[in-house]
Amino acid sequence: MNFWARILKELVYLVIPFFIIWTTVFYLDFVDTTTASGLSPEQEKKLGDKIMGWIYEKERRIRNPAIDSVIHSIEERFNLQTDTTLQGVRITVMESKQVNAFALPGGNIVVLSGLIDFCDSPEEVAGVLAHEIGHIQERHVLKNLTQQMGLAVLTSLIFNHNAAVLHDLVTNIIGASFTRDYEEKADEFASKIMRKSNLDPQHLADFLLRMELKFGGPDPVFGFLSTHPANSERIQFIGKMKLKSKEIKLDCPSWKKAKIACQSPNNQSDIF
Amino acid sequence: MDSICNLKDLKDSEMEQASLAYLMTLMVGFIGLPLPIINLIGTILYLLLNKSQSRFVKFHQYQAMLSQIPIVAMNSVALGWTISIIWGSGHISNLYLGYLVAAIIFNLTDFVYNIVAASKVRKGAMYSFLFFGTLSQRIVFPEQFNIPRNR
Repeated sequence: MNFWARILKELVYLVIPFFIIWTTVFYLDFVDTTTASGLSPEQEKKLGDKIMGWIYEKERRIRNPAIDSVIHSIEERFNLQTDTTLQGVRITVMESKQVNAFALPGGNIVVLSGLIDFCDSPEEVAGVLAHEIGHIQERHVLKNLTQQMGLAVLTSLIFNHNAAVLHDLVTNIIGASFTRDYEEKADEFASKIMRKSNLDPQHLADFLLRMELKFGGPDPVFGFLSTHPANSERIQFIGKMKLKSKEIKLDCPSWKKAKIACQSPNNQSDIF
Repeated sequence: MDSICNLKDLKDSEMEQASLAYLMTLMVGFIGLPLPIINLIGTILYLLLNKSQSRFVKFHQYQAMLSQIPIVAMNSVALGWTISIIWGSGHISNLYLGYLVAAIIFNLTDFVYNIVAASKVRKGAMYSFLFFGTLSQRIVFPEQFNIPRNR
């Protein structure tokens, strides 16, 4: 064997173990395991309820029969009430012009009315919600918060009411960006639950594409985009998960009324 | 290797100098922690200052020095990454932990190999590392680099 062939072979023998160790530890996911195990699911739910309570104090919840009906039909399609793995997911619509939806620890999802106004169909809303449910299932919000704010702060919030910390925490949730890995997992989950519910994941891709076209890519002003980087890759990925059978559209006769109810809200929001 | 570098005729001082090249890596490395460049500087200086005519000694000096180059590069990345996490905007990720564990394992392996090499070379054996041994053979014994490994 000549020198170059031998040196190349030996270099490969050296480099491969390094990458095997690196990727093995990477996939063992120590960071996620440790950050998520800091709070039990019960504590996480308590924390989520505390945050939700604070948001109710500060912002206006929209109680409109047309909007409630749209959300209810999505919940029914996803079997949120009956599917044991999805029980505990609660969807609340709050008044805000911002095109955004975000998950809180413990199962709460906040949808801002601006998002419903922006969506072309209830199926698009379902797509965004499916993505947020994915973040909840994987406990992404809790993991992000634990890394950014520390477990001690989160634990103390469960037992003590601290408005300043709650404000920081909600701002953090709205403005936080998830890692590419988290986004991929949430998109994968969204595609699966949509297909299982006879909805085409393409609706989520369409929503992302229109967001990209309207707002011109990730921009910190628009919360939803700022937390969801690399839209083009995501659109491509979701596009590959297309529903193969015929889609059964959501039964939402009140969709137009819901959209009208979400237009131009009287928004004097502090946090959204 | 016997044909190029007769191991039977090795002097005690040659074995000692060759062995010292590996021990130098370890000693200077400990002194220089956490700066990862010190061990490389140590081995380069040893090679430059100790101009032995013996190819046995030169081979081991080169092998000790060359094996430190990727260690230095790897440790520099680990140090920079850690600093960015402690004082910068970085955060502990699975990617970082994976790299750190791989770097620690490779450092420990390097440490063990250096001790084994120092011990074997002190007894007059021709101890050759994977990759770095071949490179050193090419530099020190260009006329015949294909030699049996780890005798």
